[in-house]
Amino acid sequence: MITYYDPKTEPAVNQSADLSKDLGTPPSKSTVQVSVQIDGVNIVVPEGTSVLRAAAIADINIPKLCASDNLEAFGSCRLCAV
Amino acid sequence: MNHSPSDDSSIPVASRKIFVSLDTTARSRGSDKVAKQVESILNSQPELAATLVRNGSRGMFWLEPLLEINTPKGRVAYGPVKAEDVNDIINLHCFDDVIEHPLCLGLTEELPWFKSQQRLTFARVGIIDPIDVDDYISHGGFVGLTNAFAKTAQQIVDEVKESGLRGRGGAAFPTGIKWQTVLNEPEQQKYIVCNADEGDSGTFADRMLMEGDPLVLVEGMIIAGLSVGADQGYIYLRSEYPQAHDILNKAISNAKTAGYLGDNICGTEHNFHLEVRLGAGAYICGEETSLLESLEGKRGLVRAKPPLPAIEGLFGQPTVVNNVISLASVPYILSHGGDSYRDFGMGRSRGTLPIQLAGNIAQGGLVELAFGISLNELLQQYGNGCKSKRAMRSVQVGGPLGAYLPAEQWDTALDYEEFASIGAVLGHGGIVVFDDTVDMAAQARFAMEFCEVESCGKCTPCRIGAVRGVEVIDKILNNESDEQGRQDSVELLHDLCDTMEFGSLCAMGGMTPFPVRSALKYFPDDFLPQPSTQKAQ
Repeated sequence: MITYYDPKTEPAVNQSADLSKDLGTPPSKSTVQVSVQIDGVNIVVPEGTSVLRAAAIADINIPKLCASDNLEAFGSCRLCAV
Repeated sequence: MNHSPSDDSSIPVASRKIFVSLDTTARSRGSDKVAKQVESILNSQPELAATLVRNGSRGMFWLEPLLEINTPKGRVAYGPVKAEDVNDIINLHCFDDVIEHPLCLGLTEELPWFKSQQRLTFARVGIIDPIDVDDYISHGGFVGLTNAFAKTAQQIVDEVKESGLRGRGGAAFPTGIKWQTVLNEPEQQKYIVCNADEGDSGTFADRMLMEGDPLVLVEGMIIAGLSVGADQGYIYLRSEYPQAHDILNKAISNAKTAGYLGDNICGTEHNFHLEVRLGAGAYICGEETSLLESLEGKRGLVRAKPPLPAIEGLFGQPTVVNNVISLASVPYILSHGGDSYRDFGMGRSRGTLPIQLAGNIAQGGLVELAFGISLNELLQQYGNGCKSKRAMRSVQVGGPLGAYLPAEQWDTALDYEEFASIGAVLGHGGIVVFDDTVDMAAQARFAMEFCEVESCGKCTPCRIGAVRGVEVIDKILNNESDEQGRQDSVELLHDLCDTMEFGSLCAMGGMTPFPVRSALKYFPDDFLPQPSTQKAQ
């Protein structure tokens, strides 16, 4: 069974509101909002959001290679791990 | 719990039996030759009217090949037996009583090494004919399954939760909670996967169980299927276990014929199908997500978690992945009650652990005991010291990724939390012993080398870290003049260990630092520059 992603027929799974930004990890489905402070920047995100995604929303760049909205979660390069 | 087949005062001629193990370890020590000799004597002397049974091993490997004969008093053991001893023993009225013979050890179940054990999971191993369903039933088999039929899925899960059973593969995750997660998933195709890819060095409990009592594993998997609503099970067996493969397939086929596997098992509305799948020799395929990839026919690459296999496992469906011993402990829990299993053990480690004594040890084998016994008792009382008769120096518990323990830590009780508190792991219960000739720096280097060879290559800390680890250890060992440079390298090694431990995707890279750090911490002298003549004399 071969499955593949066809951008013409299927909506992007992890598409973020702002297409110019690659947030790296999928959004959280939680309705509970939490506020976090990253490098002095305050940001409110749904509970369960990854630090990587929250930082990307706040325009803070955490180096990453394999975490991308274009890919399913793969977790191989570990570049973003702190 | 170990019954002799008959309590009558005399064994009727028809039930005279001679037992010789077909366990891989016993065979490697010559049990096939002994069995062949027994067969030829029984053929040439039909008046003896005895039958040969190839059973599992009792786990006393230094006594293999062990020959057992049932008498009115119970089974009498002779060992280690050579083919040329067989004629002597059989013709000495051995079916009537314990006899005078240099190899006679007395009643098997009275041997102190055996008698002091608490065999729950291994209750039938070494006793029954492994593939005989009737023999299994006559020794308490399928009672747990019968009880499970009378319960709802939730009640079965609750019983397993009550028992306190934790995964025996090494990670010690509570089995009941894993099952609950799979049960909670909406009704759909679900799977039971048995992890029989026993790759840790010095471990053989899974193999012994599969070769000695495969039906208890089959029963455990059927119960797991009932409890989470799965009708398909797979046993992922390592290819290095051809004997276990053969026995498992025969046992499954017999169970199917007897109506315990297939559609409408035991006349109920439940279905359960079971298949054995062979691995291809990769250590990493013992890691559950990698195992699932391999089972799907792909390369054994570790998956990122979440999602957990309990939610998206085999072919993306909810899957229970449990070790052989975890699943094989379930029939006891369902037949005797979760609380009965829970009564064994200490702290949060409940029940019994099949402990495997291996390496440089005089009396190697399998000891099943409740959690709580100290390493020292095991090494001395059961293991009887090193086989080389030298002083014991180091002990590795929990496979190639377990910590090396120095003598001052041998009073630690076998308990998951106690081991964690000294930076060690209990893992699958394998204990490998080293005497005073061991070079611990070489062992540390080997841990990194092992990770380099066996890493699936997916994540960077494990794939590259292991290669760098070998290089840094070589740098430490080959540095004979520059003390500052040596210390810098040691610091670098610690730093690398941190990266591997916290950055790796799975326990392969995450635990490789355990043996390296413990060797550095407790055996620092082995890492000092020294003339090679002094080492390992």
